[in-house]
Amino acid sequence: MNNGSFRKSMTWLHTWVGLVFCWIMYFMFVTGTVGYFDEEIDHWMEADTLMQSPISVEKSLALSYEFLAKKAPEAKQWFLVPSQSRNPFPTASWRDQPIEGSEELDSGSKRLNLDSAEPTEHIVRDTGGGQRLYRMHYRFHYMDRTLYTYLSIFVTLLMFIGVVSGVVIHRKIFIDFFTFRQFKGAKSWLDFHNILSVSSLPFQLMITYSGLIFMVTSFFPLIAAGSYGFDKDTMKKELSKLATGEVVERANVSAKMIDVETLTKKVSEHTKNQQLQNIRIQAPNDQNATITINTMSDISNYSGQKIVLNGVTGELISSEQKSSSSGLSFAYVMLGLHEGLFAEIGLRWLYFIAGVVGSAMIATGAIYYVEKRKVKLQENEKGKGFKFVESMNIGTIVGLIAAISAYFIANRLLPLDMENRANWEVHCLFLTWAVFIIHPFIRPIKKAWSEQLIATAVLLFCIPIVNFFTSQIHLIYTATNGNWALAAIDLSAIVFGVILILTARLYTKRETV
Amino acid sequence: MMLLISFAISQLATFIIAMSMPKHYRQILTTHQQTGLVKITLMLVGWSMIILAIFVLALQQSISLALTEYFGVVTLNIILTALFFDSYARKRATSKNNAYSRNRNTVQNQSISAKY
Amino acid sequence: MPLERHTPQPFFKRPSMYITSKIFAICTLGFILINSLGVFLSFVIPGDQFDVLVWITVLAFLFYSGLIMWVFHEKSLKVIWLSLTIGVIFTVGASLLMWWGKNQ
Repeated sequence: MNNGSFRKSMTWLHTWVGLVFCWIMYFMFVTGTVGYFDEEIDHWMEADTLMQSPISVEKSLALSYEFLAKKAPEAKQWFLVPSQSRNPFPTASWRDQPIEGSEELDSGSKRLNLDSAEPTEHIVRDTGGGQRLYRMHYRFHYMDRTLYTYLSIFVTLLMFIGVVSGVVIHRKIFIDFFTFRQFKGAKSWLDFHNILSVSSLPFQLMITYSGLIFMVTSFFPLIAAGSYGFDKDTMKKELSKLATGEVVERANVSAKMIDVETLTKKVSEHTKNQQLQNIRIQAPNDQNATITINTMSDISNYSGQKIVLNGVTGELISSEQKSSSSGLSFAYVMLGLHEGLFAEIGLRWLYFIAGVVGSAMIATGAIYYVEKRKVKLQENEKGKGFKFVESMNIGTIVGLIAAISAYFIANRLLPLDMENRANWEVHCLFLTWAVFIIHPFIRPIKKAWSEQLIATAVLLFCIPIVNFFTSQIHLIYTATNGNWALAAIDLSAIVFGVILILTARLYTKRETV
Repeated sequence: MMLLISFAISQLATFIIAMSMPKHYRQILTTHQQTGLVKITLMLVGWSMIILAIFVLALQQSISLALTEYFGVVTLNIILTALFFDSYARKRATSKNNAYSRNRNTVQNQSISAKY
Repeated sequence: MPLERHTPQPFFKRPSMYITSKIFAICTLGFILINSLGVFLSFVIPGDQFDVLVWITVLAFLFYSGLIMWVFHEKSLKVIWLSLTIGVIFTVGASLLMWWGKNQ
């Protein structure tokens, strides 16, 4: 395994960790990258209207307040998310509303229409949208919660080790900082892998380690338990600092809450220059009603202030930072950086590009493994394992892009009244991927690459075409109306399609030389 | 707008820093020998421009947000610089080879005509 | 010409078992060590216990990654298993003693 040199043993570790888990890492990276535009994809997949401008906080709150007052007057909790530029529809959620004549409790979440005077639910087609695609990067699919939690922790940990060991094994990280030798076979793949890794190293370290922080309490709960001597009461008290605040129970004495105008005034008074994130109302329409106003800092939605008001009198109960310690501040900044919810359009595109670079880094690493050994091995020396890796590389690197394209196309082509429509969109994704994974095993490798690249490009080109024939928000309409958030999805499909066609051409040219 | 300005400054900065490395300096200026003074000057100018690029980003937002954006900007800058240097060197090598083979053909033609 | 005789390698010296042993060490003793080390450090490091605990938990994956890299670098299985065992015994023992001392 190694001859004693740390660099050699890390090379071994980097190679094997990369080889065994590269396909699942690639899946996590690609779906996570697409997820930076989850809200825009949601809107594209709902296919009803152009992206609308957000409404004022006052109107947002008024709509949600009125909606919840009718829908869940005795709920345990209300949750109000105001209209935002990426998701203009205010969201009203409720938890544990008693149902008349039943012991069960009702919970739910609805997005509200912007243009009606009365609060009405924004009803759209049954679709998984960008949310389901983005959640796949840690939940995968067809998996139980425990399994996906531990699988994602395991793979993310190995990814982090892969990044760190990659830095250790890079022999001339500074001398070869800008080195990229094109058209030199395996050397080019190594250079490409190196340049992509080195250029996006801060992003790779941040994204993998912050991904681990998300799951730290699931993986190392014993540290906190042991530190408090496994005493449940102390733990509960201390760890409540991590939660969003104290739980307020209903007194079951009805009381009139402050009106929306007063609430809006209080919000602007207490938030000042900070951005309002959401409002949580516990025990609404009750004597114990409390209103928690959460703000977010400019770099993390986890950091910011938590302002608690008396829901009946409007008096300030407390106002404090969400993170009560330096460790929590660090963790919250990392989590905020991972999600990038604070990012405006320019930074959001940079996040997307960094994600594409990360995905390409994994893909080039996997291709380099094959290309390096191809030179050394004769055709008859290539075992089943080698051919498996070679085929899986094609089926995953290209096939996953095809599968995601199929997800978008299925959204437009599946009948609107279909049962489990949203689930079938995902089934289409995985069925397409399965076809693309099987394909290289039954075709010669050289042909499989170009065939898959062209097929995927065709699928990508189909997105704007199918969109044109099946929805009102096609590229011509969105572009002429200056709705670039939606137009960008069709345009990105075309750009990626062109890149794949060029890659196929380059590949065929190289193979025939 | 600030993002684009910062991108342009940072692109130039990464190019200058790459030029401070003898390996890449030779790719662009084959006839010139890089001296120690040139190397230091290029490095100083390059790094100063990187600070300027971050400063430009920080003009209209907090420094933490500016740094986050800068890490995204510099990712693209490095890839583009690496692509440029290799493409430039290859293009020049190809044109040099073409010129060499053209010269060779002319010499061969002259010697053939001299024979007859 | 006599046929060359291959003596089979002992089970635990096969390359696959060598790697399996390392992976097993990381998943069992390595994991316990990171937890016990975390508890131990939360007792040793001065300052607000909650803050210290948050820092240790947040950095736990960094320690674990370092440990995994060391295990794959170290050649001797004996050294790996012995070091991890000693580490666990020390950190668990010291943590228990400190906990006992704190509650006296």
